[in-house]
Amino acid sequence: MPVDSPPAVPKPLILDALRDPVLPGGVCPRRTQVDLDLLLLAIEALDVNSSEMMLGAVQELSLQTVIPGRVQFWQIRSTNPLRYSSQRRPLTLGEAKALTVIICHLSKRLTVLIRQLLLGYQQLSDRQLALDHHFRLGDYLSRFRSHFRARMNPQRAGVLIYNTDDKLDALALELLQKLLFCTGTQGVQRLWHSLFDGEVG
Amino acid sequence: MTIKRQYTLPNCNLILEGMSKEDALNPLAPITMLLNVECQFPGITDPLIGGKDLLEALVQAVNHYGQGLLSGVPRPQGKPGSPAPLATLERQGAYHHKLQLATTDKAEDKVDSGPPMAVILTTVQLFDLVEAVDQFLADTQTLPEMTLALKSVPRRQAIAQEPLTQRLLPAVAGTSTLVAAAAALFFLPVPELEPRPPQETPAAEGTTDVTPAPGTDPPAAGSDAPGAGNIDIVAAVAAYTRLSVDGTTTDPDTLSTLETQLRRRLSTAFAADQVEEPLAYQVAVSPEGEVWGFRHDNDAALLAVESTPLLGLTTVPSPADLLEEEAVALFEVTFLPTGEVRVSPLESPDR
Repeated sequence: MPVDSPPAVPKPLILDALRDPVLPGGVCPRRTQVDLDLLLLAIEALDVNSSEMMLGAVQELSLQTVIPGRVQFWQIRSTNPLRYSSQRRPLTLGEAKALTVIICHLSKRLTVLIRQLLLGYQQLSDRQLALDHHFRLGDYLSRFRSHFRARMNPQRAGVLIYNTDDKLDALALELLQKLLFCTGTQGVQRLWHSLFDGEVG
Repeated sequence: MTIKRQYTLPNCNLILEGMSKEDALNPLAPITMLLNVECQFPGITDPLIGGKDLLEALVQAVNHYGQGLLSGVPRPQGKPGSPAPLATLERQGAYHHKLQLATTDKAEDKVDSGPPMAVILTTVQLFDLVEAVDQFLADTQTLPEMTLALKSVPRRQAIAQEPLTQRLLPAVAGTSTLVAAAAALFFLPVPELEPRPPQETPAAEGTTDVTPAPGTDPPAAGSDAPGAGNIDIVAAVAAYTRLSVDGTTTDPDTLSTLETQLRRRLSTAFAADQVEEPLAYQVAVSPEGEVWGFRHDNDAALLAVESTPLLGLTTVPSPADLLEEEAVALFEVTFLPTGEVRVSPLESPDR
């Protein structure tokens, strides 16, 4: 039978499990935009193929209604005000939920690598060795640094505080620890509620 | 019979022992009554052992600290006045976290009732504890009433990350700079307004300059004339008063020469059409015959000063002239309505 319009893609139910916080204005605060983009940046630094993995995750989790394609994904990530090409539009709650779910989905796939890197960090810091001694860890840190410097606008106050390699390394390791928490059973809920700490009315 | 449920993670083992109140014989029934909790960390010798209160304290501590770690926003420990929690987690450097257990009072409890127990956990161990707790909370077969209950910290309760002194610093710096600038500018002198120099142009231009200038401070020389705000006459009167105080000449030859000269000049310039009554002035004349100042002797003279040629002919001497000359001649001049000008030397000048 002739069909005039393509079949409607079902609305992602996965996002309904996340409760909407009570926010002034109904859109995500600045901190949320920054946190989500930085977590995605850390995932990109962990695995070279992660940008394709992200788009694959959109398909697997049926989030096409929220993130139709590659360009829209980049636009949503660019709502981060610290970026060079920052989109001056707010991040909606639906988009934030989608990013949260994608982050947890991808970090679960990278669980082994994350745990490996954190154990390596622990051993190096116990023996007070430089972080370059662990090959994968050094690789992650240098990739994170180059991605950060390439994308973030150094004239922003939030970026100026990370003006040395050591500070960026510390940020990268903090994000790695956060990603570890995202790999848990309730990682999505924990990450979602932590995004709005200190912001809800 | 007791039912045992175990949540095993690489770095943490959470073992719960309990019974089902409803169906005591079925090992697959959900645990509704908890008898014992044991939390082991491989590599750490002493396990944590306790009852339901330990379990609840662990859940509370894990939620509180774990969320703080994820968001980076410190949260208040609890409502003021509420009892101190049994288990607390604290950060110890970049990679370590201290799990502190308070002592319990119950004698029959298996927890060491000695000094409070503290366990140092690495991040991975901490995460495994969090994961074990999450798995337990998600398990509907074990204490189904306990579930994951997370809340974001409201804005008012979030502890500010910058200390108060650092937050107040910009405001204090701005206010103190303003105060310092105000104090510095306070000592700057208010610029004084200099009186406009008197006009030396002919009477026609003098009459156009009648508008009173409230800002000018006329030299105090007895010139409180109502309504006649002409600067020229004021300057002329001031000059006259000054000159009459300085030396005046009494040489008869000079006096008669100057008298004749003055009478001639005033007569030719005087037009009597507007004069209704005699106008009397005291005029100071320089040895060269220049009118250097004058003063009115009656009110009519002041009001009708523009009808006389005196303003046009008066040239107020500059300080250089005054230094050179020593004596002026003083005359009594009267303008009559008939057109006649009478000039006579002044015997005794009065101020």
